[in-house]
Amino acid sequence: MKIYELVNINFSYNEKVILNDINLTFYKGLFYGIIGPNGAGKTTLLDILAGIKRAKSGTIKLFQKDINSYSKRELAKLIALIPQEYHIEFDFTVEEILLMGRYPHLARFQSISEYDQKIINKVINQLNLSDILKKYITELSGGEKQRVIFARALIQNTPILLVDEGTANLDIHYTIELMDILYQKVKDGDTVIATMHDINLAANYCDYLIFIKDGNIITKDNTNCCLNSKTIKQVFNVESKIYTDSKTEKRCIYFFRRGG
Amino acid sequence: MKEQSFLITLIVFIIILILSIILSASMGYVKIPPEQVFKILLSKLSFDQSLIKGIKPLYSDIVINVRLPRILAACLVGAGLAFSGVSFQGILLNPLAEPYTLGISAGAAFGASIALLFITSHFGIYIVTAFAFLGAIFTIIAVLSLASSVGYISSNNLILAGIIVSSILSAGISLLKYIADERVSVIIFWLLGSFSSETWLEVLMVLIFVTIGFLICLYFSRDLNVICLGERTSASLGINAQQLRMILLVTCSLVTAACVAISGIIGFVGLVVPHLMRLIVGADNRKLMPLSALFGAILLLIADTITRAILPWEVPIGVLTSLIGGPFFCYIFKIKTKHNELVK
Repeated sequence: MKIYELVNINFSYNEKVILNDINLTFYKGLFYGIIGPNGAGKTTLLDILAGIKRAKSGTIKLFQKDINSYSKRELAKLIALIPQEYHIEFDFTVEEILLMGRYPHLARFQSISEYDQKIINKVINQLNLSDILKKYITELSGGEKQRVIFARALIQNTPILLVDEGTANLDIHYTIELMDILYQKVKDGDTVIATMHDINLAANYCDYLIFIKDGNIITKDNTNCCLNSKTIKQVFNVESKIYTDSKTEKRCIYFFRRGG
Repeated sequence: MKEQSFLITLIVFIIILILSIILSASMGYVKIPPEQVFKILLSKLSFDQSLIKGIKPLYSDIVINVRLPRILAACLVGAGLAFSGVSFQGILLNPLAEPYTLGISAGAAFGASIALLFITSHFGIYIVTAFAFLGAIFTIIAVLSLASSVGYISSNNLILAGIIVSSILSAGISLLKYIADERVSVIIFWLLGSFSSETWLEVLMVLIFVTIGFLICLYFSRDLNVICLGERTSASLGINAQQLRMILLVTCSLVTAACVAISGIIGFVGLVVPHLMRLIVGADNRKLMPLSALFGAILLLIADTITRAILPWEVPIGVLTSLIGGPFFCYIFKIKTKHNELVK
């Protein structure tokens, strides 16, 4: 089933072209990775998919309907976003932040139901957050904050999850933990679209990769088909060797030094 | 647990506020027993004249026409400044923001100074109030248009625009003071803030602004929570941060303008009350709004009662709040930073 259908999407900011004629289709139950250098337009693409930014031209269909025909709240029930920045100035407790994930599902002064609490508890257990529930977000370490923000998006409980470098500040243990949770969501039929800098991680988890450079799609295909050293050279201008792990049959990548 | 402590605090604050109003109305040059004040108020509220049998008509007159307008003005201004402070801190994503950050106080002061200096008419006090209000409104329009010239408003741009406009207005006020020569005391006295000579008409005006403003802030308080998570996150949670900022900014600017117009510049309440309340119930704006409004009202009423009835001479209330509140805030700040260091 088609989740998203993007046709001739253009986006520019102050005359500068950010996305140039993007055509993409996303299907249900797949893990997508968006890969490209800094400033390639990955974050803008996610914002357009999330309905936060509007494309200057072109159409986006979300579940066969124009994305602009949805209300903000309807979108919030379908799409959750895990942002890159998570600076919070005020002393909210972790529990309060997690609860905000349920806001789109609740009326203004409605308190949470048993069903909401069940969803929240499930995520708390998945991410082992019970020890820091009562702590203030302002007193957590960077990694802890990121996991709380991640949890908040999971609690939003949407069929589509957009992840903007969601594991950038985490050690490998927590990275694998979060990626496994995303992988499980995809297995359960949800769709994950993630921008990623770690290509090995992307090769390990993503079904499908989209390479972007300077607002253009360089290539898009199954991970095992499109991940090769020619693409890496074209997108990042870096020499690399790509081989297949004998046990998992997943692609792995090794980068060569510049100096030779 | 937290839900309960919120409800208990709310009820305790309401009781303290009612007691403070009765006690304050009984204090002053003419001492009136609190139970008689209670009966006078009750008879006014229930239109039951039989309750005030045996109470001197003079007492009833003092309570209703002299003390009550002043008491209610202090409560309303305290409440208005406090919940506006909560909103401004949320909108500007800055815990150090307050209702005067965007220059509303400077605008009101400039307007009032012009009225005090150049306009003498028998409407006297109302002209000053009207000019202060207009000054505040023009200031906020200037700040908003300055800050939004790039197409959207960011909190940093707003704060910067506020500082720029304030400093221009401050220079203007200094010039007016210089021109005023020996009449400068009138301006200074107004700037320091006071609730003496409040009338029912002014109370009614502030009541309207503060009540409507409070309801709007309470209605959007959950959205304000989400804004604190950043613009992208709030958008993905279905909140239009730009639009919400604009609504609350205009609302709270009007509330602050109305408060400043009748009372002069009373500092500290809008900054510190939200902080104190956060220590009790945390950062959830749905709880902060009502508690801050109540505590702001209690605080200003007590401060005004001290200067009106307890001190041998009347100290300007703006000075009093800053003198008592400033050091207290230092103390709180010290404890908090220590606590934060320990946690890290």
